[in-house]
Amino acid sequence: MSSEISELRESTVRTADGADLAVLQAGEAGRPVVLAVHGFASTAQANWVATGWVRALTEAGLGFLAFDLRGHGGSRAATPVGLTQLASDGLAVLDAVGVERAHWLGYSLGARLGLEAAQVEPDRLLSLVLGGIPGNDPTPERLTTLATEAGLLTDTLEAFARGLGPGGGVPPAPPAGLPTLVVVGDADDVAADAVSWAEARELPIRTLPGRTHANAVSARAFKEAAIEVMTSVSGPD
Amino acid sequence: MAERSFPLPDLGEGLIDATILEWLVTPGEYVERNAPLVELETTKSAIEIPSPMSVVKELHAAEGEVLEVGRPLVTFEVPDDQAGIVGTVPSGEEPPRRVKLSLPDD
Repeated sequence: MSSEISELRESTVRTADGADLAVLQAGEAGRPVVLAVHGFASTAQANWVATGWVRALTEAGLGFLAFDLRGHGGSRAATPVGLTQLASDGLAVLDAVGVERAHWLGYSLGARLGLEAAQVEPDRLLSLVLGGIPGNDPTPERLTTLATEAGLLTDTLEAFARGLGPGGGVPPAPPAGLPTLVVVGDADDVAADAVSWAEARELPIRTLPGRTHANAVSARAFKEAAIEVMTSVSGPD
Repeated sequence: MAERSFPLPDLGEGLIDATILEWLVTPGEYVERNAPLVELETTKSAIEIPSPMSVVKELHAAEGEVLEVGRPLVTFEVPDDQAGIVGTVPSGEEPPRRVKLSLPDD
């Protein structure tokens, strides 16, 4: 494998309703693709690039694909939209780069969106890795409180949080037969109910000792567990 | 063999220190250049730093410890012919230019 850090390629994808999404890609063409979807108030760069996921995935023979959610990072479209539209944005990114099926790697809100995508177009997912997923959808107030505590709250994010809906819902189970893994830090107080949510649905769970919602995402054990699931699934066709 | 000190690099965004989350190498280990070296947590986020050199001599902070930017992070062992004319390099030198940090808002 190359000893150099994989070159990141930047592009923009315009959705059907005119939102411009900032997209990052790495890895050789023809590899099974991992669509990495970041959490609320984060970015593709902060959630996946700075944390070492690009190298981990590309070294495992996987392609890296990520985008900034609307109202986040380089995706400026601020119109608040719901979970279904945000999940469709991920599928639109796959369409734009010509990928029919991909592994969905999501963290927090990005994981929740993976479940939404699996409801809408289950055939397009090769596997689903759900990192730091709350077992109950957070309310907009909870999200804005978390962003405020992290010093990240903006008017755009506040509007985005309201657009997600009232919260309090329970994330749907993934479709039967879709390889799924839940990964969560055992000190994660944002997704403290992830384990009980996953156990009730008989999903495989990997807990990360001592990790919080903020620092579980870079954990080597998270990467290894995710890659094991992805590489055990047969290729894109 | 000579030794070369690698300090905790400037992490941008006005950050002055970081907590060692997990070492991804051990003393004596040969590390592929740019392979993961250490996981850090700042007040902003968790990050993974790649290794600028290959042979790890000593780690200067324990997991869970807070380290200030510029303080020694790792000492590497380098062949004498790569360590400069006098055979050693002062600690506290600038990080090698090819270390690539991928941080938000770069």
